[in-house]
Amino acid sequence: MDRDALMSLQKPREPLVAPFPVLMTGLGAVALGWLLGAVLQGGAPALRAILLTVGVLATGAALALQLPYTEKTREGRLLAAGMWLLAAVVTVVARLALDPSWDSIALLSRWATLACLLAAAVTALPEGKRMIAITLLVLFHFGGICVAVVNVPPANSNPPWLATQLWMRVYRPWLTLTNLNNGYHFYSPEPGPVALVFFRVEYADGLSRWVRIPNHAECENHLTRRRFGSLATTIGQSIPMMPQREEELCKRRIEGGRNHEPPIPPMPDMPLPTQYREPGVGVRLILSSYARWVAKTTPHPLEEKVPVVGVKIYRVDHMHPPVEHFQEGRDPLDPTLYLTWYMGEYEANGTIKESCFKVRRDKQGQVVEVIQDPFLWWQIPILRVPESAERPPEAEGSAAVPASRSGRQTPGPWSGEGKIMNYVYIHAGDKDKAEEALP
Amino acid sequence: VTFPRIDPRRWLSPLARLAAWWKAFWFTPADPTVLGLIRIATGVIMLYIFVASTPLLVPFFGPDGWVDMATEDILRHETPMTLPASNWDDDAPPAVIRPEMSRAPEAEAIRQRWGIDPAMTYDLGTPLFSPWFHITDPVWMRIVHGLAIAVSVLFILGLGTRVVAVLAWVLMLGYIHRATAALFGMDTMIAILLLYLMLTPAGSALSLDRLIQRWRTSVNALSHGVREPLPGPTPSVGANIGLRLLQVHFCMIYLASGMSKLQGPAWWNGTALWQTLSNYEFAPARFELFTVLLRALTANRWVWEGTLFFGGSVFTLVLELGLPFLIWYPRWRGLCIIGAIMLHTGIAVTMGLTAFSFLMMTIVMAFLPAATVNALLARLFRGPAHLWQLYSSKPAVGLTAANAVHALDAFGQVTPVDVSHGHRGEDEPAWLPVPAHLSGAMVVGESGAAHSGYPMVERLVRSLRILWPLALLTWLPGVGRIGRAIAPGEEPGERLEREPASVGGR
Repeated sequence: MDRDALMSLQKPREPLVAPFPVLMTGLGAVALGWLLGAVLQGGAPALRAILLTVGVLATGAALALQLPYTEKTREGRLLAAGMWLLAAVVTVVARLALDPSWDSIALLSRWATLACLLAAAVTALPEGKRMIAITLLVLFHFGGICVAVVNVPPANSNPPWLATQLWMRVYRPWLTLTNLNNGYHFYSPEPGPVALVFFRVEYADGLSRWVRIPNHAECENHLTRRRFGSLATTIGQSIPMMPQREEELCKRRIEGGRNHEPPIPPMPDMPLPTQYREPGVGVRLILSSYARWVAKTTPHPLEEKVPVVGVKIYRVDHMHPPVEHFQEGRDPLDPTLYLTWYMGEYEANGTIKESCFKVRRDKQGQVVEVIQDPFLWWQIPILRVPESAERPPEAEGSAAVPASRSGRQTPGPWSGEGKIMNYVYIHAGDKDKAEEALP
Repeated sequence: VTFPRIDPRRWLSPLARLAAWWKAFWFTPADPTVLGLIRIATGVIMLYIFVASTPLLVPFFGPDGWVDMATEDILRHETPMTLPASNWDDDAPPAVIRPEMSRAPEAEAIRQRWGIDPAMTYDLGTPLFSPWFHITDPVWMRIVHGLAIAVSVLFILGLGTRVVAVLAWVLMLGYIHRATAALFGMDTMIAILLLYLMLTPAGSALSLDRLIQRWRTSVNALSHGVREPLPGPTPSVGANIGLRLLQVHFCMIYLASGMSKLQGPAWWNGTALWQTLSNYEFAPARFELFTVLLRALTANRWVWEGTLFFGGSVFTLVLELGLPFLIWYPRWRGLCIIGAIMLHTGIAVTMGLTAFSFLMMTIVMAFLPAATVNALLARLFRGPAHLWQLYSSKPAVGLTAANAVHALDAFGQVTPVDVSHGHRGEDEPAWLPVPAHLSGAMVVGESGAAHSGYPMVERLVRSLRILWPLALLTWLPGVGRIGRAIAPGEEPGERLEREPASVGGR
């Protein structure tokens, strides 16, 4: 017996379970869910959710049962297309049955309707035209992937104008929905620093506690470590400093640093404006949320029930150590490798303190007044200073004068000489820890 | 005046060739075994992700987590999306394109929060969906999370794969969309895999779906007296499209990754690998030996430069830029796949991105030739023993067991022998003792020893490697005794009497 004859003899000719009763069950369950919602005015949400889920799954099962046995004849194709259309009806009814608060599932069901209609159209086509339709879908899809790739701005420049137009007008919904919006620029153009976040939680009795993410000691696996690492990376996105505010912000930073007790200089050997990284509105919202979570979940150092009165947040970039570091046998986690930005002080409910940052806008959304802490969004240095130094060189003079040109003997950037001057602790209010590494 | 003759076929022929190539590339039926293997690997990693996410359920997906629902709702409903300028003035504020939005109820809140009039936006918010936007009760959260774990188990097993694959995609994206602030490369890769596996027949090989189909085929075949080994999964256009989507997407990922690296000085001067290895806040390899190795590496500049430049930058760039072009040639394919596996093993070991690396290795499996995969599976799962399964189709004795064994026997280790058939088959050796009457299903080994009842089950699960997980149970103390009490059967070693009438024809 040849293989074809054997195959034809062996292949089952009909589905394991009759698909149409299954389809009708699906339709019935979804319709019942919708009816219950209408009658009960939104009552019995769990029962309705189960009915809708069962209905949609049964419809999917009916399609899965029937489609492999669809004949290639016109009648067979139309039958399959008809089933897809019925499935589209199920998704529409399911969407109508959803509570308005379940908006994201309604969005999913709208996409499911579109998918069913598209599948119905493709299934109804004869083989040649179906290939053309699939070809067009494949080209559209990979066109989107290309747009996502080139839409990532190159260093110090803009992405292609056409790509941004296509992204916004055509591809954004599809690629966002499917999470295919990655540009695949892994570790490029440079691997870059590693992001962390430090929180200083202050309690009403004056005690405080530091929290860091990711905290490697508490991460059970790499997935948890990277999830926390991504939380830190997310708040690293910043918006350019507005040119009209540059002079004012730099002046306030220098004065603020000078007036602080003890003084907090800017980072030496680094142009002052580049030390300012203001986050956008989205990141500020996320920072507030982080502060809420940390305030809620960080236990008091003495395990007492004392309310949280403030959460200071510091975003940190950990730079990779250079070769000299390893040659001299220094700690790969040397404190000077951490570049730190002050991200504000928050109430326990996540609101940024008004003394730290407040924006007043007019009816049109234009900024009328800004109250801003002189250190907010600015880098706070962690330096190595001579053992004998009581205060660092720049603290007295202009921050614009780098250490190397200020005439003082400061330790080289990668030497192990001198002591640590951790201005993050000084700024946060832990002056007694000024010569220690971050937690 | 004479005009040059234009032959339209001359111009059309390259297009026709392109169309033929395109058709062959995308629409040639392919063996779905590779796709089945990719499904299993993806399912295992998905299961790991869900299980590892269990302690993160409240802090990352709960209503009051790191990014709480209040924040998430604002971000997904309000984030203003503005169009780039349509003219040359890139610095101009966005134009008013939806004036009616100025009077929308949420307009004032958006102006105050985002500092932009919604009339200037092309869209507001992001199209995200997730059950975690709506399910906030801890008990229901645990139930849904448990269902997600169950779905990944079903996805690995390949039961109801067409529906389960859709569920797997929806659930995984539900987690991804809820935790947009905590995503990394792993989430991107699993979304790619699950999308393509959902759209294609990923369950038509190496799955319980396939096993059910084999069982139905066996019922049909044995009842018609067809006792040849069941054919492998039917090649399909859908399977080919699935593999091609994965292959093309993988090449695009590598090309984009390689080209973007060319912008970076660290990849040109060869220090990029050092940057990733030496950053102890990223790399989990914080043990002393690792530090000693790095220090040893820095002792000699030739060694340091040579290792990092060639082992890091050159290897990565050559692979990422070369693979998308070379992997299509059969003679280069093996080398490219080995290179990709080396790269991702290195990433897993030195950077700790284990799940991401396994997912990349899973995608690159789409380039494996089906013949190679089938040969490898046969080598792994085809046991040395050969058995003969005795049954009778008329009257039906042991037929159900024969069908089950025929379906499970994916590598032709068991030959079905119908004792009610009129003559001996070509694949039945002359020495095979065949009784005239059967009281139940029976298996005969190469030694001529017959087994029935529980001993037959024990013999089969220990012989068919696909059933080895079950065979482990048979080694447990007491299992054999219980099995023999339920179905005593014939013990191994009891030889059937050869019946003269059965030799040469029955």
